[in-house]
Amino acid sequence: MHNIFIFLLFLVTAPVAFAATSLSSLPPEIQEEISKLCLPIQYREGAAAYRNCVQNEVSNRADDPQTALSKLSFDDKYAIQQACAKAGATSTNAYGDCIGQQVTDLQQQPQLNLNDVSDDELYAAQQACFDAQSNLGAAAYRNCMINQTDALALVARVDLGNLSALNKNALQLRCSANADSAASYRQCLGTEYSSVTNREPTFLPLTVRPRTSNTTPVVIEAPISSIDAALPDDSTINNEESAITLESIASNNSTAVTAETSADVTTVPVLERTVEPAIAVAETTPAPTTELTTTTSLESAQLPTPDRTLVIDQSTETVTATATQEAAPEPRVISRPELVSEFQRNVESSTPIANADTASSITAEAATVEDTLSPANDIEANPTPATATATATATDSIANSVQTNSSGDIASAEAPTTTDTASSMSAFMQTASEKAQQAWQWLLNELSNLGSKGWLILAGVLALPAILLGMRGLFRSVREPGSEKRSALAERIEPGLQTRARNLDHSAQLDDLFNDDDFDLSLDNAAKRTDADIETPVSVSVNDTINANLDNNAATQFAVKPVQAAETSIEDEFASLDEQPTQLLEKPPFDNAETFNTWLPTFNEADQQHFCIEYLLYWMAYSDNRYTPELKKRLFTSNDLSDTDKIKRWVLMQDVNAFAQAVQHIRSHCSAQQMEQIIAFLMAMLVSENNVTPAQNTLLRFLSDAFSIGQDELQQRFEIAFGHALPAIPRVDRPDWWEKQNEQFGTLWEPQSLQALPEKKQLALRLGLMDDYNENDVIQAFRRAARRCHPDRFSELGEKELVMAEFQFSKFEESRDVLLGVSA
Amino acid sequence: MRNFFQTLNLPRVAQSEEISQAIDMLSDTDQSEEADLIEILESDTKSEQYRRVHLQYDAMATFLAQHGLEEAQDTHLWHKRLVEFESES
Repeated sequence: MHNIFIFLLFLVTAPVAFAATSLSSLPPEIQEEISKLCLPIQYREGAAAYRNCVQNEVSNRADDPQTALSKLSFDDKYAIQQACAKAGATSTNAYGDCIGQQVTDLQQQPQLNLNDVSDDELYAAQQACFDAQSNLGAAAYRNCMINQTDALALVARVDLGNLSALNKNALQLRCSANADSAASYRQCLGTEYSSVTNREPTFLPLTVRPRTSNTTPVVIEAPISSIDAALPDDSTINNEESAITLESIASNNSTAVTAETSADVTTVPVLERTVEPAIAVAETTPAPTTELTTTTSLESAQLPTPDRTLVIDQSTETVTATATQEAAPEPRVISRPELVSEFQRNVESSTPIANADTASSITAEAATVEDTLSPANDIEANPTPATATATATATDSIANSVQTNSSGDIASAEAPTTTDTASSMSAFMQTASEKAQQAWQWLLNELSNLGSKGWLILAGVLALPAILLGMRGLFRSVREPGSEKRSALAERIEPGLQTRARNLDHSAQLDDLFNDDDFDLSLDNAAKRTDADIETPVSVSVNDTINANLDNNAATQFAVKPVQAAETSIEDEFASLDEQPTQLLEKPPFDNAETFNTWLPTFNEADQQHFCIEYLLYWMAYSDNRYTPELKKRLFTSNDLSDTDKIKRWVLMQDVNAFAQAVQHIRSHCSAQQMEQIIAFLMAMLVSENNVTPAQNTLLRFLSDAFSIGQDELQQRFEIAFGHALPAIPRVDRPDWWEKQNEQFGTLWEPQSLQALPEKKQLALRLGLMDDYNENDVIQAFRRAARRCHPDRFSELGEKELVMAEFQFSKFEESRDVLLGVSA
Repeated sequence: MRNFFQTLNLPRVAQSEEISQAIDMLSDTDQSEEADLIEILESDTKSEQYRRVHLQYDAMATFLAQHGLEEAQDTHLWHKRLVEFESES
């Protein structure tokens, strides 16, 4: 039964999915263009014609430089832009030529294979290749990255799966601070594991990844030391990579290969452990044979290439290198290092069908391979002309067997190939069509044999989705009290919203799928987790946040209490602290011997990170004069302040050294994703839609550069978050800049002046709504605001940041409810 | 950004009276810069925003002096923008 439904689903979706897959590999604008071109054909001639149209268009555009450029990753694009920055303006031919050349160069590089590379390792690799990316062009950058990942593949991975989040974080932070390459980062994880966890690390099986992405990894099960022992102690063969490759092949349990080539066997060098490192193969006569005796971990493998073959013979435990050439015009000398590296190249080229430059055709037939399994696993070099066959078996990691001949024709291919795409697509479609027909026939047979019980089960399965949907609706209708309001609001915001797909990723691409029910659910979860896990008085911290008037527009919290007469003089003193930083005070009313830079290292790494983020948060808040006189007074009269209050006090003291320390700490200890989330956090907490202040604008731009995010990325993220572009960098020192500003901004940029506004106006401004707005504007502004606060955006930050974001979200909710009249 | 407080030889926290006195004593200053300085610092709104951004530039200059931007991006040419703030760091 299960199979029946799978085939039904396949039959219905396969043609569309296939076309979609082809299209989806292209940039959106080109997808749209192709769709426009081919849709009429679909209507006129049907799905098959549409599919052919799409395939043709896709293949036609595959080589277009602009298409290639648009398909590149951000890093590659950045490298190209850097390389062409000096070629001239972007509209010039010189710049265009440069881009084209860069793209061409890049296309000649192998693809980057990031399988089994963690985000942190990728970041370390990117850091190591930053110079190449900035100065040497895209090809050099790609090459550097490939070298990084290749080197990485030689380092055993530590299993971090059993680590707590805290230990894992501590370990990663420690290593990210010290590593200068991806490999050294991974190596560091292994060496530092014990010191962080007090346990011995567990290593995962090594994976030797070929240089190209369309090849299959070779899994190494045995320790490296065993192959080291198999190689002679020869400094000229200091090639750990080759050793691992040998080991990988051996441990792969690859089996027999028989090769017959039309070429004459001219040299058959075979290494033996006891012979000299270099082997000279002279003249064109068959060369003497030597042997390299390996350890018992070496089993067998055969690596067919057009002109040279290397074999490991299990039965004799020897490694045999067989070199064949069609002609041997000149004597060739092969040293041992050459041979070892050749062996490695062969390993890379032997993985299934990756390098089509051998012009060999491929047949993959597992059954045939099974039959050819032989315990002897020997290689026979047979100088029989005209025919060449090579049959090999392979384990799961090396895919299926490979049969090659010199004709260059493609008989059939079930394994992925990089040969002519159109031909393979055609072959694939033909095969798929046949299989679909067979499946359909089989399905009809199955249905005809179905008994009454079978039909009953079939009906039940078909009805299951409807039952589940009904139950879901039922549960939703009996949710906790108060949910009616939200449901009503959700329905009001967008009729039918609740029936739409739910996805917690509220990225720009999923704007239409945003659903605040799910959002609230994750917020609730975050709150529960926080209540249970955080031992520090988070609620106090949040309240302090409120007291510090971190509200975007300082609306309700800025209701200043009447100042009592007895405190007037003190109030005046501390109200003017902005104009009189404590560095200038002769006798500060508190102990100021402790500085942020001496205080910070007294905490563990997680707390240090949090405090640095807090410092930036309060620094940004202070820059907009959000500190009330009451708060200033408290901060400067108490010697018993919480950690957060201490940070506020240093901010209030305009401690620029602390600012520099906080930024640098984040740069050196946080991942790229964390730094991106810190920027997002600052925007969510402090920046108001349509009302980014000059100080905020300047600070965000600087931090984005300092955190290696850059202007383009910041612009993009800002626009997604706020629905409008980030204004140009402010020039508050220029009167002409001021002339372009709306006079109203002078008031809006002064949070404490907003308290005089009517409450509804304040709430509207909190959502970035000015004077004329309607219900839809409120809904859209709320959605953007809610997305800014979504916990997923701060997944790499701490619980305290989540709590702050949650609180901020609740204020947006309040604004929405009041403006829509829902809470009344 | 131009550092008007450095031109006036005053701290960022200088009061308006001090600023007015310093402006009166200005000499050997570029006329256009002097006009800009007066317009910005003698307006409450503009001077307040200028002070806040000035603080950011001061902090950024400190950061650059201590750590630099070698391993980061510099899409805004911060060293050039901060040239008048370097002495304060």
